[in-house]
Amino acid sequence: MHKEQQSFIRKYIFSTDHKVIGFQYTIVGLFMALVGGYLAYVFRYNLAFPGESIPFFGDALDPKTYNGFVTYHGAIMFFWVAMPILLAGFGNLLIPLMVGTDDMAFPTVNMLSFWIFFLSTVVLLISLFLPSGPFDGGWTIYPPLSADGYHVKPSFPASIATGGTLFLLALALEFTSMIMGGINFIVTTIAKRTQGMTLFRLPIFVWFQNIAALIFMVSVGPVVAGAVMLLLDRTVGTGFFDPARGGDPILWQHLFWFFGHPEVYVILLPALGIIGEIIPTFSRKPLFGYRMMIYLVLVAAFLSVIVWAHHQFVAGIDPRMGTFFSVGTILISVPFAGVILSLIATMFQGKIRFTTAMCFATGMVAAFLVGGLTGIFLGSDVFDIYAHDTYFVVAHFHYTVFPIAILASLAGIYYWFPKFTGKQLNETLGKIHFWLTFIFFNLFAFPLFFLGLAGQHRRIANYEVFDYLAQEPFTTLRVIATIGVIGIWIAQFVFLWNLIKTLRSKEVAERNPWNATTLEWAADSPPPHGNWQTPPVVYRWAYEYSPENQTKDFIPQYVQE
Amino acid sequence: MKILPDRASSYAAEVDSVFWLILLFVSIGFVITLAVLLYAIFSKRERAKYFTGSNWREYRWVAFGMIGIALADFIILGYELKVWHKTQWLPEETHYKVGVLARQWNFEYYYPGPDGQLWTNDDIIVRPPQDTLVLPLNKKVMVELRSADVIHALFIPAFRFKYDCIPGRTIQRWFEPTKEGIYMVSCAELCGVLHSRMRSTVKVVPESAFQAFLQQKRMEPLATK
Repeated sequence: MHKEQQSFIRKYIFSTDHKVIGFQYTIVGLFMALVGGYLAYVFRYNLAFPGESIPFFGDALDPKTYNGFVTYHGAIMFFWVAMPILLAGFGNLLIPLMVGTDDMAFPTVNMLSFWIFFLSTVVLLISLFLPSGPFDGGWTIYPPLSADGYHVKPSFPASIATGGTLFLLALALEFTSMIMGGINFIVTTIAKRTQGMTLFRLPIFVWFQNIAALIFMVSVGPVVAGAVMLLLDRTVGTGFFDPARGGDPILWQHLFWFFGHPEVYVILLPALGIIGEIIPTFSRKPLFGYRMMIYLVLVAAFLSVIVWAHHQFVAGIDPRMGTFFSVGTILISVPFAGVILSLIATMFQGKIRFTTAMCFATGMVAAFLVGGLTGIFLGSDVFDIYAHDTYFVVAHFHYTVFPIAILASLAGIYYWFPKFTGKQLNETLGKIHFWLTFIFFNLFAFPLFFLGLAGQHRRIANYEVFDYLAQEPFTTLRVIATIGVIGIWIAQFVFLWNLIKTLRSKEVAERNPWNATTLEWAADSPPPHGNWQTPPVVYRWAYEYSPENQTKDFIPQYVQE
Repeated sequence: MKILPDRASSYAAEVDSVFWLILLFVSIGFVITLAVLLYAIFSKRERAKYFTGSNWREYRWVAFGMIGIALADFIILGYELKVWHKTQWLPEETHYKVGVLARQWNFEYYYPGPDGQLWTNDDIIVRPPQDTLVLPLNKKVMVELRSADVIHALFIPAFRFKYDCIPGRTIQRWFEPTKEGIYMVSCAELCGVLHSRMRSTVKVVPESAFQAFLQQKRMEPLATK
């Protein structure tokens, strides 16, 4: 199955190799994380020290640029960081190796998916630097604000080159690219498993990636349709969301949140999959309740597509609908409690080794616990009426999305780095990186709960006009949160240093440095195009750690006993 | 430091009680789970113990955890849905009606004119530079929310009241101010460039003063319309 030599362009740029595509997604994702993180730094600095000039940026933000920056920060972190790294990046790198095949089922579609994604990134970045300013209608793009700006509607050709139009176009392209990736994940898992790899021998990561792809494809249709409708409203003057012409702005909220809520699970599941591989390896124990975990996540996946209107309690929905969506939302806590407790039970009585990857994995579980539990406050329709669009919500989703997109991604990077580069990241620097990131993240996000409870509403460039919020202790809390963000930034320079240092070193990593059981560790580091000299054969499930009556503390899936 | 701001409406205390009830259960859940996590970390051994959680005897501890969460969920829901019912459905009798028309970037307040109807030509209108919503103490007020352009949200933290003002729709909710004073009002939905500046105030006065205020407003010439 070894593929022959290819030209540089076919090998590294227009490549059909799932690993190269995985790298391309991850690198674009990491680059966009820098962009999104920079925006966060700029507006957090502005919030802490309103009116003062911002180091590494320039003058204080005017309200329009501020709105633009929070809009792009949200959209970038979701769709251009979490999605490409967790779903497309790790999914592409690992799924074919974990199921024991040479590549994705449709390698060309896979390549196309990345290049559409790349195009969407370019369109997004262009929209950020337009002379008319970036799109500033919030990442949820609620019409009528997003549909025709400020009543000064540019005429047809000019309306295309506005930030909002390009922003919507970028989103639609991004969704299209991820749909193509999702098809590949599911078909590869169903059709290309190697000999002996039954469905219930698949690593939990592959299961969760597939469930995530499934939720994504179930929920994304309406929002792509909505995005096209909104594009038409903006460019050619249709009135889908304009009440004056028989449309309804609430329609967009339904289309958006029918996708938007499941989207959180689309990025959560790959993250949990990564954690679910790392914790057994470094606890030397089987994953606790493997099958139950799959069933629980399927239940949660189903619930996730019927709770979307909990984002609309304040939009004057029928109170009976509020009841239904509140019950569904709060009950999601049950399956996820099962998953989190199972992950903790996996560590119980294990031979735990706190490598950097394990630190990030444990930190992710602990931080996500806060995010998950505070979701119950917001699931309650009564309290959501008060907390909606306040910093309580901001704190809640940063406690879910940061552990998912940053902590779990970094856990995965530290864990699989030796496999895909052949080199092992420095552990000491790794631990400094972890502790700085974890502590400063809490310093940033925890004060936001108190600000939100005090009634501080979102997307405000300057709280000085709101007397109550302009006094102590709220001003100090905002400064603490900003120090947290700057600290998170400093921590990432440690990571950058580690990356450069490791990639320049000559030391070669072992084939299976963590003594893990899944198939990818049987391949060369890095695996060649085509992955295997001879395809591996699978003899057992993925988590045979510390079996009784054996001297070895692990038996890989590919070893015949 | 107060965790939640001052309360000034009849149902604010119940909304807060939902928060404290959830906080109680969530804190218990958080402390127990974190304790279990720490216990799991410190229960490490020379050689890991092999168990997979695939039978009831092993899995029951996780199952108990899920049952515990489910019970807490049902207690929370049982209580909070009662409060939901109280806050969301209009009471049988409301004493006054107030209309709120949001536009970029201020709130306009409407009181019914002689015909007793909102959104008619004889409405009493308070619009900038005056921007105070004057309300009677201890009277149930029905609020109708509308928007002239994009989506806004009327947020009165002291009343624990926040609903969107949506173009093309009228949203009806209610509150009953229970404490005299002046309270902050903000727009809680991103509504454009000056969203950051969109604010207003609520002033709760005794009913007699409220009547006097309406009377005085009726005297003002219609030219301001």
